Amino acid sequence: MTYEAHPVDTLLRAAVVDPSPSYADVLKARQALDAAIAAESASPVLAPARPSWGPWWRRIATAGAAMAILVTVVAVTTLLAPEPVTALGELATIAEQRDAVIAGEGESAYSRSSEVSTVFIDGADIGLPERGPIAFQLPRERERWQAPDGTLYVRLEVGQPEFFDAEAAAAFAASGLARDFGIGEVDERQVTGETSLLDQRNWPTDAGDLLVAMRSWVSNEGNAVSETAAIVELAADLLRETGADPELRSAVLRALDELGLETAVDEGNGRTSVGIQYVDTEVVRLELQFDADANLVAERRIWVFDVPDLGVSAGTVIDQAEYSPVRTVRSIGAG
Amino acid sequence: MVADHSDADIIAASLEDAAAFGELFERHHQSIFKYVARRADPAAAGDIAADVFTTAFSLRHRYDLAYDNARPWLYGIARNLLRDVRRGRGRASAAYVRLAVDAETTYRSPEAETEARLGVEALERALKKLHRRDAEALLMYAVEGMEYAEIAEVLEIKLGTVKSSINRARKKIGELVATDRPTTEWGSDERGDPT
Repeated sequence: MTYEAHPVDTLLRAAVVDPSPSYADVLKARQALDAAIAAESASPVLAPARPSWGPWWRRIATAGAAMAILVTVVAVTTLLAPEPVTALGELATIAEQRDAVIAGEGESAYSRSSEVSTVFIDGADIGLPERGPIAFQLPRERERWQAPDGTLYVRLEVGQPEFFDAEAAAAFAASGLARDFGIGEVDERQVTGETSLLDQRNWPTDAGDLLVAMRSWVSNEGNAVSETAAIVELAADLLRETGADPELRSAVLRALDELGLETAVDEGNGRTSVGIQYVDTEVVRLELQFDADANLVAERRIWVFDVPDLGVSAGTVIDQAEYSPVRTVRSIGAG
Repeated sequence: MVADHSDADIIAASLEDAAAFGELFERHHQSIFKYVARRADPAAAGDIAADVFTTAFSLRHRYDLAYDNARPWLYGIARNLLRDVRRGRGRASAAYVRLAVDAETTYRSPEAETEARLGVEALERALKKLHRRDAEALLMYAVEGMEYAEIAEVLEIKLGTVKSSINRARKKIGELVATDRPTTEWGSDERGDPT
């Protein structure tokens, strides 16, 4: 079959470096392999794989593993008393004991969310080229109905933007750009196929195995300047409105617990918060909140410091969302 | 070993006769080297590519012989080694691939040279803004010439996810590069997908 290459593919092929191994590269690699073959031939028992004492970075990794074992041994020998149950550990137990949300024939799994996201536009797009990037906050209300066959119906209503200064707000209003963001509009659509990360992989329900799988997953995801933060975001993806099984919800919470995140319980509303701070383009604090039934009910991202270029002050919540726990309703459209 | 033997045949033979594994090296070293050299410090690429094969050799008894084509397995080992190198250097978000203006192209005017360089820089910026998995899937497809099924195996994701990752990456790059360089026109359809 012949086909025309996608222009992006063509561009990439033209732009990537195309290094070929030198004769020395091939010879050296082949000699290394031949040495491994010879070593095994001299001792033909096919032992379980063992790392070769090769490049410097592998030696560092091996030394690190040895140190980890030493630390573990010390830790284990000093742990004479059972560990106290943590807030996340308690939530994990609660999650495990809850019934799965299963929509029956003709029913849907329903959830509703309210979110406010910070959006960036080029000042030139609204007639303020001298301003460079301009930020505003955009509220959205979303309802989801998921049928037993996996089909997802989404209703999204986009609210009015809030700018950090009056000049930008006026310029935006005059620019006609509101239509591009669907401001004031309602979008309804049906989604089939993969609707969440639960559809992409069989996630283990053992917390240790799950954490390994999560680390593997985030290593493939971009913009993860902090592995731990990426795992927290992945945990939110697995728990947020997905109707994950109780066993998986519990495992996710236990995996989060193993990360040693800052945890706080608000006695007033019964919510447990976990938080992590990391450096992206700005210093960001990411927080997840769980209700007393172990549902993920809120998340938010906060810029920790002032960002003068954008007129954003320290402590500004740049993204936040509140979720209703998933429940079954009789029909699509019911809430 | 005759050429029509599958990779699995070679690996199976090497369990009895270790020297047979050399055929796998002959088949795949060049492509693995290129894959590594596009992503690593050029000075380290030779060592890493060599280590892919010594690692594969030491792990071959765990290879699932039901898979005739060992290329995804070798790329997977290469990815893990590259990741270890990046971690060792404290570079959690290293560039996915090295780009360059083709120096061997016929003469360009200074203006055209600048234009080409800006294009590559825009593409680099766009790649860094993608989700790593999307970027990797697209690079494996467009640059390494891998099949969807091979990519799914290397990245440990479903076939459908590979396709959606590639299309998402193309669309995003098209949008980002067009924004970076307003004179460029991009399609966001799915041309290039033979299925």
